[in-house]
Amino acid sequence: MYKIVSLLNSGLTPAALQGLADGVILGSLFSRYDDLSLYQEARKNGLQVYISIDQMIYEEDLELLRSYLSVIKTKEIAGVYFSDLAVLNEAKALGMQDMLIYDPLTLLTNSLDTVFFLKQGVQSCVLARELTLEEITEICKNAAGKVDLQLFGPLIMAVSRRKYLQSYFDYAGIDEDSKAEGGYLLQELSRREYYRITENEKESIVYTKDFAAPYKEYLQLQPLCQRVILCGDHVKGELLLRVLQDLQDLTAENAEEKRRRLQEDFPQESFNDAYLYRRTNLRK
Amino acid sequence: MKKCELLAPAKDLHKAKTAIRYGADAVYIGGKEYSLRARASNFEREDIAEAVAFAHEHNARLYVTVNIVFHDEDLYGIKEYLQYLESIGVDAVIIESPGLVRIVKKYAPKLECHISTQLSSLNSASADLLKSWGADRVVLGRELSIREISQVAANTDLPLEVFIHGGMCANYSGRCTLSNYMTLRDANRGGCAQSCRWHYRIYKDGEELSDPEHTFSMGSRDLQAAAFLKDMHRLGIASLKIEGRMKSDYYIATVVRAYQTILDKLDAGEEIGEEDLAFFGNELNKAENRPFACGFLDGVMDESKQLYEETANVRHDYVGYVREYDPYNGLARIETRNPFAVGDTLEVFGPHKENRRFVLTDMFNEDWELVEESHTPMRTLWLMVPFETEEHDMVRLVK
Repeated sequence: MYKIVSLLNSGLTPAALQGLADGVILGSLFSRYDDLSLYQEARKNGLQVYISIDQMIYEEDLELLRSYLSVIKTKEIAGVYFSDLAVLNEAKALGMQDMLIYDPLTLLTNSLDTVFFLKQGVQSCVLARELTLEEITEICKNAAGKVDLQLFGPLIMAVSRRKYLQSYFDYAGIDEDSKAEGGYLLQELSRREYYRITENEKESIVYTKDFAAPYKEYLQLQPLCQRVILCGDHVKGELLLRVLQDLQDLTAENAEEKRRRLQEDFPQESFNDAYLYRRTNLRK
Repeated sequence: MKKCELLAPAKDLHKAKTAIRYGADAVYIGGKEYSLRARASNFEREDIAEAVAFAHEHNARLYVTVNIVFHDEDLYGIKEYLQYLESIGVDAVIIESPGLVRIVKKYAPKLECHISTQLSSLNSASADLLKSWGADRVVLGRELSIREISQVAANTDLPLEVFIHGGMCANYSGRCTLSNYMTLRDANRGGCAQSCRWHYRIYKDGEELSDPEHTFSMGSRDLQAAAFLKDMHRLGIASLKIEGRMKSDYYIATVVRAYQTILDKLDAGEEIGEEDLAFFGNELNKAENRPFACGFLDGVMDESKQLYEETANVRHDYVGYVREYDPYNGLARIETRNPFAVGDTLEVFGPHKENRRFVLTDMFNEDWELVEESHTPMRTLWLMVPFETEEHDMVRLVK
């Protein structure tokens, strides 16, 4: 099992992960992270480099996608996370589907589809975040462990092509930069919790503000999967490093204590266990 | 042969028949199993069989949604269900799961597989891949402009389906867990709480930025694409889809009739001018109060497409469904819906006919007593109508 970290807006560079993580997810022309210069730094620090092509692909992007994949094929890239099926189609044409890791955020919720995509030649699949511990365990077994799990960090709640912030600021006559780094916080009128919303040229993204940190369950799930992902999007570097350090010597005996101390040391943050114990099958 | 199929939703058998009578070329329904609208479905298995038979008698097609994003626990019995749908002659299933396409092709090969918009297909490369897996059609994501749709259409031979009317997911369909996170209701398994339509405050550095009187929402105006039908017709889009499996028969009749009239004109080589669009726009507005926009079709995505104000989405114009007409006495027997009274101007509309108005002078109850007003739904009344009407016509109030 490998620990892989994405770093967007965390203030960290790959060098900070040396000895704490096995790999780092960097960006692409289609991605929310655009700095390919980080590639060299990651390699120099012994980290495997993963690329994320995590945006939806439109027809006019296809040519760029093809040329980008051709370049990736020649680099020492450990894997390419993708969410749009166009990437798989184009990678197949280039005979490089074994570099791909399918991550459609919400859509891999069952063994049938996970095994189906593995049969298409991708090296792994990232399961949906809204699965319970029991469901994840079952799928990991059925997929012979060729599965990645995002267990740590904020969770993406929604992605839209709409410019939510700019549209609202225009509507309400608010003079603000919709693309401000780190975005803004949303709070539903009747709730206390907050969600983070960011916007760029291509999309708006809503994240949980709470940080998933299921320490105990990490120990249970890590032998069943290929990689565990720590999402550092909009997370303070200090917090990300602390979680990585905790995972270094995590045991069944100290997991609960470490998690308790994490909350004590970061009192402004709120931690949860993602959906591991939250079944979301309620109907109206 | 028609160039574009008009595809309408139906919540129950009556609405499926209404959609077909009012001009739908195909109807999509959800059974009580495996559908995103399963909770709202009134389709028992025997109703699906009757809907298929009715559709085929009227040269229409019937599709069944099997479009939840399955968890392992949801997959039990799916093979038997697909084989049942095939055995009763269902034309296609609408599915999200690529893995399920293989199951359909192996165990129920007569069923076409239409890939749901839940998969957010936005380009020809993904369409080609889906085709290679056995898909017979793909429903494109609602994020595409007409220019982008034309680019996809030019580069794939997989038949395309495009939404033209109704509610819009604010986020990429299928890739939204607002409802899951906030309410434990899985949007991808029929539980969507529509959290995108809720209102939110916006904060920056601890300070509220949003206007307390006009708070933030992700909600979208509904789609109305009448002005783009000409382009879609020219592009040879296989199917034009109306959203709304929760909607009333009045809504379905009004919307289907308006779009089918435009398509008939286009099939006949007629031009659709600004006057026509204004007329059809007015017709479509009679179906619902929620404000419309053209979604992403014009390539513009700004505040004019968003919905920040609360709006009622139920209109009360629909006063009755015609059950029979007595030509000797000029009386139409109707099943009432919303309130109306003697002296009101009413409009009768029906499949393949022009709207006709009259002022209501007399109406009677089942005991032939004169009635001045009707406030009770599902009541039988006889209305004096000065022209011939038919069973399945509808009567609405002109305001």
